[in-house]
Amino acid sequence: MNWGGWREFLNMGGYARYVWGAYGVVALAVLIETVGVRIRLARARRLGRARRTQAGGR
Amino acid sequence: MHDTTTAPSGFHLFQYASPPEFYRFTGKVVPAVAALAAILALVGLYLGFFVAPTDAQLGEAYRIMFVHVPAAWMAMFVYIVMAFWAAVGFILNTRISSIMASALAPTGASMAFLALWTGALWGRPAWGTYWDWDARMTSTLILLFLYMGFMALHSAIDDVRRADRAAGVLALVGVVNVPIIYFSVQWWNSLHQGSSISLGRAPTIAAPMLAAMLVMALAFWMYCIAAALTRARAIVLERERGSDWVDALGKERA
Repeated sequence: MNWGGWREFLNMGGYARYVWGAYGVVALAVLIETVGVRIRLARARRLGRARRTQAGGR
Repeated sequence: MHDTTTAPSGFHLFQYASPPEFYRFTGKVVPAVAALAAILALVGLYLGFFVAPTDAQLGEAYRIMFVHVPAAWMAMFVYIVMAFWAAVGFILNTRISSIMASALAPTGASMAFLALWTGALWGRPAWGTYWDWDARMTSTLILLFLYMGFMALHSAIDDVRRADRAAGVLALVGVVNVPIIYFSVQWWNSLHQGSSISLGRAPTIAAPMLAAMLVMALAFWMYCIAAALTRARAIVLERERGSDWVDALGKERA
């Protein structure tokens, strides 16, 4: 175990802004891409369905 | 269920080149790969922050390595895979191959950006500068521009198959950049340190650090597969819109 407590962990030996700046942006990029591709897939599915409904109504 | 494919039972090479088959198969694969990515990331973060000791020279700042190295590896690897699928799509004229290339580009661009970003935040405490125009950093920046160029060129051409071919050529030409990045620290004098791990040579970092880095690399790898395949599934539906099988899919879920 490297850390004496939460405060010490968050401080990262004085390198907090570099370490958390790196990990934070990685987490953000992963989150944005994950949400983005899922929204895109859901929309593609929905549009397939919308067209179906339209065709059925004709 | 509808039967749009005439694939016989058992595996054959072009089975998943059929859009509906690809869509169904990846629908089963993605959740498993995504779960694996999450588990590996948790294990990797635990190893990286709680098991790997403080570095004698760089203190805690070196822990950036556990995301920097995997992102840099994936930025290069994803490019090679993207160029491979672009080439297959070009030669065999298979739609799914070109879709794979298009689906990989944003993920690769994200990895290249993260490699540069985390590298800058590591460079500052390690070398005293966020950025230096040395061979490795410059060629990695070019890699990011190649991904962005691929996406821009693809979206600039209306006819999607022509876009596939044009962007595919760009992807293939850009492949020469990957070995330049990889060998840059050997070929040129650089601020960037040499590889900690290379084939045929013992790693130059401590075992717990190596373990954390490799587990994180696997996590990034699985993440890239899950993200790119999900995007590929969306692109398949977008391009096949109006076909019977996509319509049937809408009916199933209605």
